Amino acid sequence: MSSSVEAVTFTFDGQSVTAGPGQTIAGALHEDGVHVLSRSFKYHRPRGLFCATGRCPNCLCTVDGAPNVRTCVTEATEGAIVRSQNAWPSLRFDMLSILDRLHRFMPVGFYYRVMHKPRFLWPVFESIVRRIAGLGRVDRESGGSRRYDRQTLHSDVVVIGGGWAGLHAAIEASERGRDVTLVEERAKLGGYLQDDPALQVELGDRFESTIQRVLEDPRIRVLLRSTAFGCYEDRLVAVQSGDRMIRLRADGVVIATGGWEQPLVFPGNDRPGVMLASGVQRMMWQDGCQFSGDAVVVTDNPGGYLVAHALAAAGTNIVAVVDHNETPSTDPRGLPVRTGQTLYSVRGRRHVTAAVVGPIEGPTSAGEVLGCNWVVQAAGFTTASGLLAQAGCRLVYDESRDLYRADQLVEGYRSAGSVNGTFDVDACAREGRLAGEVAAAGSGGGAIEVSPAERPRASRRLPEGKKAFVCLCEDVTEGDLFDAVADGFSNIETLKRYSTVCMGPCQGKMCQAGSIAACARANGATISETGRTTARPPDQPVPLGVLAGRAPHRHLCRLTALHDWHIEAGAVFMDSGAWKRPESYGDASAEYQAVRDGVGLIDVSTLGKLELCGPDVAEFLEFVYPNRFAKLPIGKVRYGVICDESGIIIDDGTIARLEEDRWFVTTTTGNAEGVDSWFRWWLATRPDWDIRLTNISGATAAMNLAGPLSREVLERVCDGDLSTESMPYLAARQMEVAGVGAILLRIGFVGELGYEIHVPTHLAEHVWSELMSAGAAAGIRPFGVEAQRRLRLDKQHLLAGQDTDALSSPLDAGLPWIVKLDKPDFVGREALKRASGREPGQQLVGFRLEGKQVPPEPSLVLVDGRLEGRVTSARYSPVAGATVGLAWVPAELSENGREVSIQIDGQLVNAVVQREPFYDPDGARLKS
Amino acid sequence: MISSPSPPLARGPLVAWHRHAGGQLETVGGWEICTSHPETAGLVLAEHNVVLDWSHRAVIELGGPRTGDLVKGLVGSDVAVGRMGAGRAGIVCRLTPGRAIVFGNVGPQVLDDTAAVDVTGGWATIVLAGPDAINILSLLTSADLRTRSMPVAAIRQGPIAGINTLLCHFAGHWELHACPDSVLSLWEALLDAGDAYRLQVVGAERLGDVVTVGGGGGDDDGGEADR
Repeated sequence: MSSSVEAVTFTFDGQSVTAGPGQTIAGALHEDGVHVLSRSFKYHRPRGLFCATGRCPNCLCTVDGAPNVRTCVTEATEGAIVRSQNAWPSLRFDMLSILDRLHRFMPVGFYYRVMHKPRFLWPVFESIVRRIAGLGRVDRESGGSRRYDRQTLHSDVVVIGGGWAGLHAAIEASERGRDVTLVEERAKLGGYLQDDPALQVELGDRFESTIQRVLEDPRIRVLLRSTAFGCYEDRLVAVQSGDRMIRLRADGVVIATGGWEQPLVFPGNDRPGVMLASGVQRMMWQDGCQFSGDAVVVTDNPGGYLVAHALAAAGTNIVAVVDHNETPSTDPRGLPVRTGQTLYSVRGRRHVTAAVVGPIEGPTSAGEVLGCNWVVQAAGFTTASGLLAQAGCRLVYDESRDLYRADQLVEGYRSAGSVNGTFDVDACAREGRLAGEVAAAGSGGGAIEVSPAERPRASRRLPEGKKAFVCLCEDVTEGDLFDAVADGFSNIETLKRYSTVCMGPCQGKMCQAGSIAACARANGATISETGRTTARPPDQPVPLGVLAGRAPHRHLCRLTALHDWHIEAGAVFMDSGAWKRPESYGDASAEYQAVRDGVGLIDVSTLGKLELCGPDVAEFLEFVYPNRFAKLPIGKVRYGVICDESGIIIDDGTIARLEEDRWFVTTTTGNAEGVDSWFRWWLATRPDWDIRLTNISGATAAMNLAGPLSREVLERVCDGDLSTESMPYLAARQMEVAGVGAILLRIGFVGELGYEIHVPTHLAEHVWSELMSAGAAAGIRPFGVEAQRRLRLDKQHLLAGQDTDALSSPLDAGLPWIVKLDKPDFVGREALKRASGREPGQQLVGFRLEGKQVPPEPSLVLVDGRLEGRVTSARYSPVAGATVGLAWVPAELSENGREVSIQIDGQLVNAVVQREPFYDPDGARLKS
Repeated sequence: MISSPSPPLARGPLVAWHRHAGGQLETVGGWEICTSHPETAGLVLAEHNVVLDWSHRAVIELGGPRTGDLVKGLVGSDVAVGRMGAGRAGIVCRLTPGRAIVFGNVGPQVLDDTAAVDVTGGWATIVLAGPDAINILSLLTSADLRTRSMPVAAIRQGPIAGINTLLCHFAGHWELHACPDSVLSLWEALLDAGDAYRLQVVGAERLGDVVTVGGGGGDDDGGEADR
């Protein structure tokens, strides 16, 4: 996203708003006098700009259909449609704000206790709760139109945070010859210095020149408007950059994420008009916003005076600077200062109207009311150490700074700047340089030494009271936390889960310190003793679309070389794994009949095809197949199944001997790579075998010309002798078909005279078209997978994977003849030998149902009401005049003529076991 | 043979895509190929990201224990695993000690060898070139494509857009070789990812420009050469 150079207009809840160039949505709304941006999660209290740095939930809106957009850091775009969230019927008049007055009936954790009984009402309660509490709603209408990307980048060093420390870390690493990627969530480099003109003046030319140095360095890749939200193993950093997720891999990671200003907890601290000083600064200097009227600034450090001066210079009337310290934190330079005082509460509903202030230890009832529009709080920063914690670095509580920071880093990580609790710019630069040096060396980890604390923090103890919100995201008050601790949830982790504090969109950035302080106070413990909750990704909320990415592999489909021909012919496609195959060309029954009575042509290019060459191939095939191949004559093809060491069928296909040392193997659709790997695995065990294995699945297309007229058609485009005498059933030949060199296998999966023709992929369309032309007079039809499945069922030919599963051995699957246990060794021999000595288990048998009712797969096979087996395939067979299929049944039910029942739509239908094929049992047509 | 078939016409897996996209199709050397796309006919290649379909290449696979000897014969020296070498016949990609792919027309002395199989049509080739080529690829693969990890003349087999692809790094371009059955998905994924970088399709008549636009010099390691 790039900044606009002209003013833009967008709508907010239907009202037109104009934004200046590069201005954020929230900034434009502020300038337009819109100070209520949302309603709170639970009580529907009005909420306005608070942190203005993209942390808190107050400015979340739905923008162009995307819910929960942080409008304080989202630039306005022309025509954008911005809507408020979680309000009914409108943001201004939210009827559900009545809940704010009913808060006493909704104590912390109330939904755990009051909505479970009666149990059947829970779905009703849940539906109501979900409607009235929450954030934005996913726009299902337009949600699918957004594009998300996923990108993987590699870099020697990744620096997270483009502030003063991060800039120096990047420069140092670059100067040491390393490629650097600098990730900065703002639109500009410089971090919080961008919001602090006074510091910029102090730095002089160094500020701009340092930024320029980084931007012009060819070794440094700068990712602006990009947020690092996760650190994972092996220094993988996840970054959201617009609608793109970037996976950054690096040798060294420097975390210079700075810190967040922490809010004070006092009654009414969530009212619109109460803001953090850093947010005010940012709105003033980055968005050109003004804060007209009167302001009270509450502070315990010089930052409060800085913002007060800036506001005063911009025309805001500073009513008072309320300083927790007994002496001013810095030179007030004419500001009205009240030292040793604090804020008791604020007044106002839709916006602040007054602040009540008084002595820190004084009675709150004696507070002085100061009329004002704005209450600005500058109570110090905490570290943005979430990524460090995710990476596994140890965080400790630094009492002198009143914040958690890392003291022990993991290998490959360094931290620098404010994330260490260092706020002095020169110290930040030093730490940045050191971190860059260490990261460039590819090391890191170990203990970390930080610059000494600049000064101790003043007491932040504030008066307790109702509606003093610790967690703005989940509407959790300080009182709620005290109640939760009283309920027994005194551990900070269980307190979090029970009260949901820190579990909202800010993920603890605004509330972790406050909740730890409240927990400590309720338990009478120290901050250090209380500990902190676990930091987990994402550190910042991330749209699910970004996490999903574009995922192009989800759209992967495999197409045969004849795909376009099939489309032209009106094929209806089906998915077969990743393959798109013609299920039919509109009339599967007619296709079936064409093959039985005349001739048909099917695209079987999806078969896997392997070529094996070398003097040891026969020995190898003897080893990987349970049947024999050593004596297979040249020019013959044989069916085979591949078993694993357990004797389980993992694939089947044909094996043809084309020359003395050249063999051609086919596998099932989708298993070419699996069989290829399986063969290579076993080949690796015998390096002495002289074998060259080539997977030619992609290089070779295949088609099956089948039917009683197939020979007649093939002869029209083929010079070879195709007579039964010259090319009998199970013959394999190499000859030209339509002028193209081909491998012909005379096999009959569909139970008719047929030829499986393998040709180079790039010439497949030519051969197919020639065959279709040659067969026109014979009424040739292309046929699809549906007709093929009906045809093969007539012959009880099994489909590996369809009729077999992870427990099927050839002994059970009707293929005991294929297992040659008298061979000295082959894969699966021992298991099959043991199985052959046992009582047979389930058997794959054919069955016939009277009528046309077809049981879906896998229908149940029952005998006397007992479940005995399952149907694996079933179709209506015109030649059998009945529904036929294959089913697994116990051995005792597998004899010919045995009656069983098959459950179809809850009804039991009688079926009869039939072991011989339903069509051409002698194979006369195959061999004709 | 009763009927007289028409002369065989070879087609790559992307011909239909080119036809639908308005590409100019011509028959060259027995192949129907897309020679040009009218809208990119005059494109200045050095300034643009372009993609080109080069599926009409002869491809030979070498396998077995004699692979090394054949590679030496073709290139003049051995080629390490994971690298490619150039010979008069074409480019030799060494996948494993016992497996190599040769893109180009080898002589009959190699084709007649039992260690060689003609797999023309079994590898579809996409040529990707331009200043943002690596960025486009980074949207589709998690592989480290920096020169340090994958220098010129390096090859790598792995998923790109979820499709098993042999990726070859030349001095001025990348070549992506994939199985023809899934190359349409790869092609469309590349175009989709390249949309943000204004990736454009050029016809085969620009092949000579594309593969030389970045310089056809040798590998920075010497020995194993580019083109």
